[in-house]
Amino acid sequence: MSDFASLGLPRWLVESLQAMKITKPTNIQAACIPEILKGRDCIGGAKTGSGKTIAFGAPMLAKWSQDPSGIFGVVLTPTRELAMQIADQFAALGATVNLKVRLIIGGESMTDQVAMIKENPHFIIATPGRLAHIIMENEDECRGLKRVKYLVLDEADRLLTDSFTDHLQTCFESLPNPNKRQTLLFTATVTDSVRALKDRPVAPGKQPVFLHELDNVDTVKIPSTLRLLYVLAPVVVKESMLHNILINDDYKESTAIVFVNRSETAEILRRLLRHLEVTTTSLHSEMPQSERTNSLHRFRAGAARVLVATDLASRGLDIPSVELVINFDIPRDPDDYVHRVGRTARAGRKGDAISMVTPNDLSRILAIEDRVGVKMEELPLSDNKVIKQSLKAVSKAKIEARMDMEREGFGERRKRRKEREGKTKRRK
Amino acid sequence: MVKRGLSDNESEREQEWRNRDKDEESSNSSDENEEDYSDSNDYPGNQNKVIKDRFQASDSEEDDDYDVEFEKHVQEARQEMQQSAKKLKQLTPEQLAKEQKKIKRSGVVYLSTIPPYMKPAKLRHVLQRFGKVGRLYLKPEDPKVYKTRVKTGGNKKKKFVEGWCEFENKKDAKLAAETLNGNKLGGKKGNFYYDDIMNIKYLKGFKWHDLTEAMNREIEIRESKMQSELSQAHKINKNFIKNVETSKMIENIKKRKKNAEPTVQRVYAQRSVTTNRAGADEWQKDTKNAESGKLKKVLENIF
Repeated sequence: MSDFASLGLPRWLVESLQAMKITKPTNIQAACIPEILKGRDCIGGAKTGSGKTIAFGAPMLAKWSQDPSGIFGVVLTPTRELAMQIADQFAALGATVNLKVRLIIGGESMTDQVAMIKENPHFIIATPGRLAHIIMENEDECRGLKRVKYLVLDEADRLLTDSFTDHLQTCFESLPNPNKRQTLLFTATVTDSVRALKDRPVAPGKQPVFLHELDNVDTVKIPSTLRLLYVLAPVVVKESMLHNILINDDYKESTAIVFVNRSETAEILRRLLRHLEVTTTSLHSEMPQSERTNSLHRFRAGAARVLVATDLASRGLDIPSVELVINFDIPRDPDDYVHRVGRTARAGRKGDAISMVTPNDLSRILAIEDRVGVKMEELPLSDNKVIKQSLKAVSKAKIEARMDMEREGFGERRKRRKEREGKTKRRK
Repeated sequence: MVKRGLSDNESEREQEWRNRDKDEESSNSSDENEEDYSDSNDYPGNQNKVIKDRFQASDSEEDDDYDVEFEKHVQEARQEMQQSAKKLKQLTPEQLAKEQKKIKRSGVVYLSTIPPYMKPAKLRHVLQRFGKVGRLYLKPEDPKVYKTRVKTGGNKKKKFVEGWCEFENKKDAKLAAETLNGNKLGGKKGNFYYDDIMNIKYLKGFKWHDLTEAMNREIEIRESKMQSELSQAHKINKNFIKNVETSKMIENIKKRKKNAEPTVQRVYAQRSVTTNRAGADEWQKDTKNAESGKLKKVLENIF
C-alpha cells in the first residue's frame, strides 16, 4: 500500500497530511491504521522515529470526523513535553476541521484545565499525574470522560511502571470499561508488563488485540543511519572532554543533545557551557514548567545549539535537526540508551551517538552493546587538544557554575517538596 | 578587593562625582539616560549587586548573546577592580586625618520610596538644595515586575523602589529629611513630580561604608573560596596531564618491545544494570520493584 487514502482515511485527512509533507505511510502506519479503523484494540511496537504518533492520530481523527461526540479520545504520555508535541501534531492534523485539542499537564493552572475538561474538547492529551489529580478533586466536572471512545497510551512501557500505576488506576476508574472503548498502546521497547498484556485472554464480545511487530521490535533495534561511538573518559576530565567534543571540527556546528542522569549535572553543564560561549539550554525536572517549555522552544528554533537534558527528554521528542547525541552519563537501563540515541537519526536522517565511558561504566556499556547488537567504535579525541583547548577554562567555569548554583539555592524546590510530602504522609 | 574609605582612590572617586555634578548641570535631557545608569552604579559595592540582579533577569530572559556579552562585562569589571586595588597608595597622616574627619562629618539619609519614574539625576538635583550631595544609590525595581508591566502595556520608564543618599554634612542631611519627609515635592504647578510625597529619613550614626561592608565581605569570601577551589582543580588537571604523558611513554615502550610485560590491571566497581525489557536476561531484571499488585490491577483494566 503506498498512500494514506488506500488505508481508509478520509480525504481531508490525507490532504492535511500532505500539507505536513507526509505522503507515504511507514510500516507501522500502514499496518495499524486499517486495524484501528476496524475497531480493534492495538499494541504497536516500532523503533524510534518511525511515525507512531500519526499511526494512532490519523485513525482516531478519521473516526471522529464520522461521528464527533463529547470527549472522543484521551492520550496519555509520560512527560509534559511529549504531551505538548502530540497536541501540536493533532492541532496541525485537524487545522482544517476546527479540532479542539486540550492539554492537561502538570505545572500549569489547574482551574483553567478543569474548565477545559468541562467544555468537552474533542481530544485530551494528558500526563497521568495531573489528570488523576483533577479527577480526584472534581469528579462532577469530569463526567464527560465516561464517554471516551479511544484511550491511547503512548510510550506504554514507561507508563506501565510503578511510578505511574497509582495515577493510571485513578484515570481508568473514570474512563469507560475496556469493553466500551478502544485502547491503543504504542512503544519502542517491550517490557514485561507490555508482554503480559499481550498474553491476556480476549474478553468475550471483543475482537482480538492487534499486535504489530511486537516480537520483532527487539531485533530491529536502532536506525541503520545511526553511528555509535564511545570515548574513554576519566571522571575528573569528563566535562573538558565534552567541551572539546562540542568545539571539535566535526561537531563544531551540529545540534546536539547531551544526556545526563541527574538534574544537578544538567544544570552544572548548562552553566558551564554557557560560560564557554556554547549556546546551551537545559531540560530537567528542577526547572519550572515555563522555563522547560521555553528552553525546548529555543532548542527547536535553533537559538541554542546544545540541549542538556535528563531522561525527561529521552522519549518521543521529535527534533529533526539533532545530529549528535552525547551520553555524558551512561544510563542504567540499556533501553533508556535506545530511547536516548533515538533522538537523532530520525526518519532516515544521519546521526552520531557518543557515549562517555568512565572505568565504572564498562558493564553498562557491555550490556548496551549486547542489547543493540552493535559494537561501538572509538571516537578519536586527542588528549593534547583536550588539555590545550578545554582543560583550564572548563575547570574554572565549572567552579563558577557550582558556586552560582549554590548562591541561587539550586535544589531547594525539591527539598521543600519532599518535606511537604513527608508531612502529609505522617498525617495520614 | 577595593579598600574603601581611607584611600586615594576614594578621593578620586569623590572628585569624579563633583565633576559629574557639574556635568549634570550642564547636560541636557538627551544624555540624562546614561547618567542615570552610571549614577545608580556609583554605589561602589553595588556593581556586583546590579550584576547579580541582571544575572537573575538574564536567566529568565532567553537571550544568549546578551549572556555572553554580560560575561565579558563581568570579567572587565573584575579586572578593573583588581587594577584599582593595585593603584592604592599609602596616605600621609595628615591626609588620613582629613579623610577621617570628612567621613565623620558626613550623614546618610534613607528614602523608603522613590517618586515613580524619578531618575537619580533628578533626585540628586532635589537634594542638592540642602547641601553638597555625595554618593547616591537607588535600587531598581525587580526586573520581573518591570517586564510584566511593559508587557501589559504599562509605562516603559525605569522605576526605583528605595534608595540611600550621602550628604557631606550631617546638618544638611538632617535638614533635608526634616523638610522633605511627608511633604509634597512641590515646585511649579505643572511639574511631573509636583504631587509626589517624599519618604525620607536621616539615619543616625550611619555611614556610607556601613552599606557596602556586608556586601564586600561576601564578595571577599566568595573570591577566596573560588581561589582555593581553583588551585585544587589546577592540581587535578596537572595530575591528569602527567598521567597522559605517562601513558604515552608506556605506549612507546610497548611499541619498541615486541613481547611486552604483562600489563597492570585495575578492577573498578561497576555500576549496576537494570531493565524491565521482556527479552532481557534474568540477572538484569529489576527485582526490587517487581510487578506489584497495583501494576497488575492496572494491567487488568487495560483490555
